Amino acid sequence: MSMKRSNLRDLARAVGICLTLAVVATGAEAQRGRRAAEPAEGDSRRPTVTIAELDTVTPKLESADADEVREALDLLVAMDDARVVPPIAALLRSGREDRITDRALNALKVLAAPQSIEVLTEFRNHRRPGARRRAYQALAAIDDRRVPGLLERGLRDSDRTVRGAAALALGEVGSRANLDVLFLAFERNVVEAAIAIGKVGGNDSIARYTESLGREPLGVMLSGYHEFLRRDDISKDKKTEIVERLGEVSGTMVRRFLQEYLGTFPEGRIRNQAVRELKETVEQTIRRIPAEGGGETMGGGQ
Amino acid sequence: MSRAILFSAMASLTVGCVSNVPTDAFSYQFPDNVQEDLAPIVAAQPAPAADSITNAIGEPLAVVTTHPTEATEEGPATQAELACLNLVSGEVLWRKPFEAMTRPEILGDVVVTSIRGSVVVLDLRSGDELWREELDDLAYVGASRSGNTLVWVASVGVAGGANRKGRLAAVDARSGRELWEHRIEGVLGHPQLRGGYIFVPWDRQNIAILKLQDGIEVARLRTTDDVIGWVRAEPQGVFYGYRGIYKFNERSASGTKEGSTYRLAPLAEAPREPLVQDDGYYPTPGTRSARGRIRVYYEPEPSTDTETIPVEGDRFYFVYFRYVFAFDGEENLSWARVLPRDIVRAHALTNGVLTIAEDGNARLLGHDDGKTVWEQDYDLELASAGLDVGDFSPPSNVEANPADEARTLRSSLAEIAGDPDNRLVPARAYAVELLAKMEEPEITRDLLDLYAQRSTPGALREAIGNALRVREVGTEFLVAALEQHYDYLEDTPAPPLGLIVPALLEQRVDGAVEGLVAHMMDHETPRAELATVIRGVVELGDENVVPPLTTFLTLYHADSLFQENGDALAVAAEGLFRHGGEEGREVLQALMAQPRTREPTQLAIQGLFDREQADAAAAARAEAEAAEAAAAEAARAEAAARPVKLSQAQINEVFVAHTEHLRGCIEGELERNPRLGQVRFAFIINSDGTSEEMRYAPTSDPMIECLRPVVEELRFPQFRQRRQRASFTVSLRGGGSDQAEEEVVMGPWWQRAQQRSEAAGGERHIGRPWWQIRRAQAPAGGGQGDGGQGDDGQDGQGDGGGQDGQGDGGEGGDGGFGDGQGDGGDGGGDQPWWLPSE
Repeated sequence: MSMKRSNLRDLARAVGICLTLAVVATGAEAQRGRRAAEPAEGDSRRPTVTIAELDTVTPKLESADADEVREALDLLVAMDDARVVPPIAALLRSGREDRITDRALNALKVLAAPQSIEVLTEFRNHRRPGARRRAYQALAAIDDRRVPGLLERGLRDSDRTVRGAAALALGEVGSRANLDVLFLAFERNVVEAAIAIGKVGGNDSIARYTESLGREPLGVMLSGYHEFLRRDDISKDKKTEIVERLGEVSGTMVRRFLQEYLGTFPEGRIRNQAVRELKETVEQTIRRIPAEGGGETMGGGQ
Repeated sequence: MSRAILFSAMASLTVGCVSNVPTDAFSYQFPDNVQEDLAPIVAAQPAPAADSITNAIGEPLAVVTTHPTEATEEGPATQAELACLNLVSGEVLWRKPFEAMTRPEILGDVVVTSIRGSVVVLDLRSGDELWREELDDLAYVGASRSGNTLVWVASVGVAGGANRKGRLAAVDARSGRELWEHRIEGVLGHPQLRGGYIFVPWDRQNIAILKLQDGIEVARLRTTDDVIGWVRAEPQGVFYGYRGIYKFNERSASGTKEGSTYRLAPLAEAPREPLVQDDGYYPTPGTRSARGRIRVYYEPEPSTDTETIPVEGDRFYFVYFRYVFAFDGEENLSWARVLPRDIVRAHALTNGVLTIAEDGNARLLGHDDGKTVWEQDYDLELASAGLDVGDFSPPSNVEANPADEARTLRSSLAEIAGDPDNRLVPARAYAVELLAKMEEPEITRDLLDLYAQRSTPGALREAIGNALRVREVGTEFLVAALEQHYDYLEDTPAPPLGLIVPALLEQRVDGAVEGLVAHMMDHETPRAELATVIRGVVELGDENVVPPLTTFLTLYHADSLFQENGDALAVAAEGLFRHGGEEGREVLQALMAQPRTREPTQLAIQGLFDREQADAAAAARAEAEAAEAAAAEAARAEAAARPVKLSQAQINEVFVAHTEHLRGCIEGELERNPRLGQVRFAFIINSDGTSEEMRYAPTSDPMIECLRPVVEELRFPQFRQRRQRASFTVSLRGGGSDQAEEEVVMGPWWQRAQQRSEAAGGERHIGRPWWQIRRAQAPAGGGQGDGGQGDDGQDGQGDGGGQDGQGDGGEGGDGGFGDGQGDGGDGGGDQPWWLPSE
C-alpha cells in the first residue's frame, strides 16, 4: 500500500520541477503545466503515486521541515485527484512561510480543481501581492462558470501585477460579459487588459478598442490588435480595418508588427479571396510605411 | 506737575537723552505710575464719544497705496500710486504716482506717509505734497494730530541690535515747521494725541505722556506684568496694550493688569495669535505684505465704566487674509465669510465690518450675519489703506444674493476649511476646529470628505483628526465611512482609517466592529493603519471578534510581511488573548510554539503570557503587601491598645486560670506546714507576657519544686512597658475581721508586725483554711464588691471585706484584685474562691 520513502522523494523531485515551471505559466499555460505534471508516457523509471497514498502524504504537510512539506505538496499534485485539495487548503489556511504558501497555490493551479475555488477566493484577499497573484492564476486554471466573476475582482486590486494577472486570466477564461470591466481596466491603465480585450472581444469591440489608439502607448495597443488579428472568428473586414488604421499610424513599430503579421499568411497563392485581399492590404500598408526613420506618430510607442 | 519740572533739570543729565528742545522727557529716572501725575491727564480727557469722521472733507475716506502691476494682455503696466477714495460717492478723489513705504494716515486735512528716508505730508484734497522731512537712518513709524499740530515718530531698533534710536517731533501740520523735538537712545512707537497730551509707547514697557504744547513729559505709565505694544486714542478714549486691552484712566497708575481697567486678549486661541492693534513700534507697510493681514478688529464702545471695556456691537472681527470670522464678546462664533481677495484693511463699525480688499473692493459685511450690505469696487490693485470712516453706515446698495442667503455658519466654515488656498492652512484648521464644535451630525461627514481629498494638506488633516476625536455627534457617519473600500477601477480610496478608528475608539462606537473587521481582513487596508484598525476591533469588540482575529493571526503568523514589524499581529494576539478565553490561549500557545512563527509575533504572544503572569504576581504581591500592612496595622493597633502595664486583676486572672495546679502544691505544703498562712509569689513580668525571677514565700523546696513547672507556664497579657514587678498572694487563712484590720494599718513594717503581734497575743491568729471560707459568689446585697477587675490601680478591690485570693498590689500602684466576690465576712462563705461562679 505504501510507497517506499525514497521513491516518494524521487517522484516529488520530478514533480517539483514541473511545479517550478508552472509558477510562470498563466491561463492556458496552467493547463499545460498540469499536463506536464503527469508522468510521461512510457517513462518506466519515473515512480508513480496514487490517491491511495493520500493518508501517508497528508501528515507531512504539517511538518516543520519546509522541504518535507514541499515534497508532500509535489506528491499530492502528482496524485492528480480533487481529493488532495482539502489538505492543501488546510495547509494554506494554517498560515505558512511564503514559499510554502506560494507552492501550495501553484499546486492548486496545477490541480485546477473546482474544489479549490473556496480557498482561492479567500486568498484573493491575502495581504501579500504574490499570494493574491497566484490565487488569481490558480482560479484561471479552473474550468468553472464562477471563475470569470471572481477574476474581475483582481482588476480592482491596488497592486499592478495582480491587476495584470487578473486581466490576462480573464483573457483566457473570460467572455464578452467581462468586456465592460476589461475596457474600464484598460482605460485605467491596466495594460494587460489590451490582450484580454483582444482575446475575448468581438467584431463590435474593435471600434471601441481603437478609440484608445493615440491615447494608449502603441506597444500596448498592438498587443491587443495582435490578439484580434490572430483569431479566426474576427471577420476579414474588421482585420482589414485594423491594418488600415495602423497604416495611418505608421512608424517603425507598426511596420515591424505588420511584417510579423504578414508572416502568418500562407506563402504562394491564397485561394480564399478575403484572406488574399487582407494579405494584399497588409503588404500595401507595409509598403507605404517608410522602412527607416519613420518614428511612431501616435501614442508615444514603447 | 512740579515733579515733572523738577525732573527737567535731572533729565538733561541723563545718558539716554540727547534731545534738542526741550530735553525733559524720556528720562530713565522719571518716576512712573504716579497717581498724582496721571490725575490731571485723566481729568483733561474729553468725555468718551462715538467714533466720528475727523478729516477735513467730512466724508468717509480711504487713502490707499496701490500695487504696481506688469503689463498683461488686459492692460499696460501700472506703477505704485497713492489714491484718495470717497467711499460714499465711489469717486477716486485723486491719485498720484507715489511709492509709499508706509500705510497712509488721514489726519485732518493732510495725509502722512513715507518714502525711503523721508516722512512725507500731502494735502488731503489734492494729494499734492506739502512738505517732507529727512529721517536719516530712522524709519517712519506713525503720526497723530491735534489742531494744527502734527506729532510724528521715527525710530529704529525695535527688532533688536545696538542701534536703538527714536525721534519724536511736533510740527505744524501744513508747513512742517518744527515746534519741538526729542531724539532719544530708545525705541519709540506710534504716538497718539488726546486731551492735549501725547501718549508715546516707549521701549515696549512704557508710555511717556507729554504735554502737546511743549513736549515736556508729565507722567509715565509702566506696566510691570505685561508689554505695551501700542496706544490707541479715539473719541471713545485712550487705550493701550499688546495682546490685551487697557483703558487709560485713574486705575492705570497700578501698572498691573489686575489693577487696571483691562480686557483679556480676545481670540487668544485663534491662529497666529492675532493682535487687536498693529504693533505700534513697527512701520505699517504701504506695500503688499503679510504683516497686518492677520488682525482682530473691534471698536470700543463709549463708556466711563472703569471696570470693563465694552465693545461696540459686542463684536470682534478676526481677519485672516481672505477670511473674516465674527465673534461676540464671549468669543462665540457668529458668522464667517470668505472673500475673493486678501483684505488689506478693515474697520469695525456699529452695523458690521468694513473691509478693503486687494482688488479694490470695499464692502460692508453685516453685523448679524456677515452678508454683504454695501459694496463699492475701485479699479485698483491695492497694497494698503488708511481709513477715516467714523461709524460709516451706508445704505445697502446690493441686491439679495442667493449664495449669501443660503449661507449658514456651517457652510461658511466648511467653505473656509475646504478652500484650496494653502497659504491659509492655519485658519482653515481653525475653521475645522470651530466646525467640529457644532452640533450638526453631518459635519462629521463633511470633515471626512475634506480629509479624503488628496489636496488637503497634512496640517489640515491633523486638525480634522483632532477635531473628530473629540466630536461626540455624527459618529454614524464614521461607521458609514467604513463601508467604503479601496477600488482601483472606481478610483475609490480606502477610507481614512487612521482618522476614523481613533475617533471611534474615543467615542466607544461599538456598532463599528463589523466594518472594522471587514477592513482588518481587506488586504487594501494600508499597512500603516492596519494595527490601528485591529486595535479598534479588539477594543470595541467582544468574543464575536475571536474567529476573525484567529483567522488573521493564523494566516499571517509565518508570513514575511510581518517579519520586521509585527504590530498588527501583536494587537490581534492581544485581542485573542483578551476575548478568546481558554481556547484563544491555546491557539496562541500553539502559534508561539511553532518554529515558523515570526519572531516579533512570538515575542508579542510570549509577552502577553508573561505580562499576565507578572500582573498576577504583582497582584498577589500587592495583596500580600496589603495583608501585611493590615496585619502590621492591626499589630500596631493592638500594641497601642495594650495597657502600659498589667493591673493586679489581670495578674490574678492568670493565676486563677491555674488554680487547680497551684492548689495541689499548696495543699501539699499545708500538709507539711499546717500553720501556713499564705503563699506569695514575687516576680517580674516582661512586656511579652513571660515572667522571670520568680520568688516564692515560704521558700519550701518541695512546694517550689511542685509550683515551678506550673509557674513557668504562666503567660500574662502583653503590655507596653518593658517589664514590671508583680506579685500574687494566696491567703490560706482569709475571712477574719482581724485580717481586714491588718490591711488598713499604715506605717512601718515593724509597727504592723507589732500590731499583729498584739492582736494575736503574740501569735498571729490562724483562721480556717481559705478554701473553706471562700464563697463562689456573695448573695446579692450581701456586701458584694463592685470594684470588679481593676486597671492600673484605678479599681479597688471588692469592699465586701473578704480578701480571698486577693492580690496585694504589685509595684507601680496596681490596683488590688477585686472579683466582685466579697463574701461579707467569713461567716457565710464556705466554698473555695477558685470554684466557678454560679
